[in-house]
Amino acid sequence: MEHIKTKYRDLVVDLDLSRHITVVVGESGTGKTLIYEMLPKQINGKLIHKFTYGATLRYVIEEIKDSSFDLFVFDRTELMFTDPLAEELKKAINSDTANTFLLFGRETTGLNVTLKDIKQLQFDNNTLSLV
Amino acid sequence: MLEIFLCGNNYIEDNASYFASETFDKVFAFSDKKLIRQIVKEIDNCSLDYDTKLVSNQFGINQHLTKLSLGCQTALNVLLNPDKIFFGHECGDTAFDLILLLDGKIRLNWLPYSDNTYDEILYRVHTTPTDYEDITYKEAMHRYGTY
Repeated sequence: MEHIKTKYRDLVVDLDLSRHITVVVGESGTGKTLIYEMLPKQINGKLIHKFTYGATLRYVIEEIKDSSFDLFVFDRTELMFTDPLAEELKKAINSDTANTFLLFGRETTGLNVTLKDIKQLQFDNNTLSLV
Repeated sequence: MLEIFLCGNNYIEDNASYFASETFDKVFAFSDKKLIRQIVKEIDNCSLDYDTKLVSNQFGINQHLTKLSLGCQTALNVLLNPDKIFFGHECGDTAFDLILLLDGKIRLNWLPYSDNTYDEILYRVHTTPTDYEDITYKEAMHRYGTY
């Protein structure tokens, strides 16, 4: 999934997801969890799997392995990655070549990401986008 | 004085759940409304309406108070529950710098870097269950490192 453009009330959300893994960091109150919550279950026929702190990582890992061409979205990764299965989850994300991953949170240790994969949210002209 | 715990498991990990169940009512009962409004404005750029109990954010959306950012919820948890220790890593820089000015308790696995290095403010840094020292944040970063 390379690009998402959708709307929540008057707010437009325009996300470039051309990277295998995109990590969204940044200040509190910039819209990270808002985007996580407003993303639908599918867009243009592609499924969006959403997980936040409290998810059973064993099931998440299985779902990644059973999916192709879907988008996996994770919120509150600072806490999610304290789970005992966090390293296994990161391994599953790193080694997966079939899906796209969008992570909200400031924790990137163990993920195969470079600076190009780390984005912040920008709000301009009623549109939230990744920069 | 803010107490920083670099050890121990006796802390509240999920700030969002605690905020919704315990801190929410305390927000509206707290007498210093100006301080609450200042925290919400400074961290989330939101305005709090005490009558409707809604916040209007920078995106033009009115939302329930529980939709404040995790950084803002953490700050309010710390302020309004000074006897509890809260996980302190779900905060952006602005939220963390503000928490450093509060009285309360946070649990950290490492010390986030901060430009906020007031020499006159001391923090009680707990390094073991029995040991602590009262030092500036600048000194704490120097001794215990930052991420």
